[in-house]
Amino acid sequence: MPQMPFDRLDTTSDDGLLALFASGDPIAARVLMQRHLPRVLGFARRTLGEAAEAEDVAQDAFLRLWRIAPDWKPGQAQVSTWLWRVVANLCIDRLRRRGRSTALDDAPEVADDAPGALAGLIATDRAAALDAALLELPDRQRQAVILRHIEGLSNPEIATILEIGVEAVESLTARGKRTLTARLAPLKEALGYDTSF
Amino acid sequence: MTHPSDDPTDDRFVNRLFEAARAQPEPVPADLFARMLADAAREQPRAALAPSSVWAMVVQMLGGRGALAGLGAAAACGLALGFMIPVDLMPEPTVDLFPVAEGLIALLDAGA
Repeated sequence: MPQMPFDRLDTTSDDGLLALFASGDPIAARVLMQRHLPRVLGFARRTLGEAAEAEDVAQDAFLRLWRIAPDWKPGQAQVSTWLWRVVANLCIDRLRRRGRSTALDDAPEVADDAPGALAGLIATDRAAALDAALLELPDRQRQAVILRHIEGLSNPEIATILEIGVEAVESLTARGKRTLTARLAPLKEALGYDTSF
Repeated sequence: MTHPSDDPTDDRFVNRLFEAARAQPEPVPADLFARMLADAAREQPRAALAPSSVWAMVVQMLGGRGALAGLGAAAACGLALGFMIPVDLMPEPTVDLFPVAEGLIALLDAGA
């Protein structure tokens, strides 16, 4: 089939791009990856705390997307939501294999006096401090916080991705944010933030 | 367990960290992107080929190579039947149209 111009593809919907991919367009996959890969890769890295594993997960998720492309029903689901969900589940699978996943309901909050492996990291790098603090959250709580506060998704979107209720999302994000604040607040000055802002 | 922070700057501080993380797109390693593009190329359904010649267009119009083969076989059968049918069964005008068939049958009879 004739190839669509790149600038036209750039404004084409995800559904449209997937249909183009399925019909043999050679550029559609690249545009879909440019559109979604950075975010799902970041989500996977923050969830897993491991760049190499996150790359494997992102690659696996997109491979699944290419395979279902011929059967994709436009309008039934959003490609982005589908990708987030696959990545979220692949991450949880890996964390379970590591033996460190925490069930949704028994997720403990972080103790006040927990020592900081964090403290050593924090001194220099705010991003690393945030990532390290996120890694101390229970897995599902961490995913919900990342999706809500870093990726900026709505609670209903997160509920669809994590396959839980909206109320559960609200609970996870509230508890997660509270724990992060308790962990990071003592480090405000060390991270160079003016406490008066 | 953690206690809710009473200091509003704590919350603002964490929000700043989130904003900074949001503003920093995740870098995608070039080799990962290349591997994933290769995956996509490998998994991509092949596009239907556009006809490259008049003959290819005719074949496509007739329903492709399979349909064309069937059409050829049917034509061959029709022709064979036309030659092999006993002359006695043919209506008179048709016999006139197939003088060769009459001769062929005569030859076969002679051979038998």
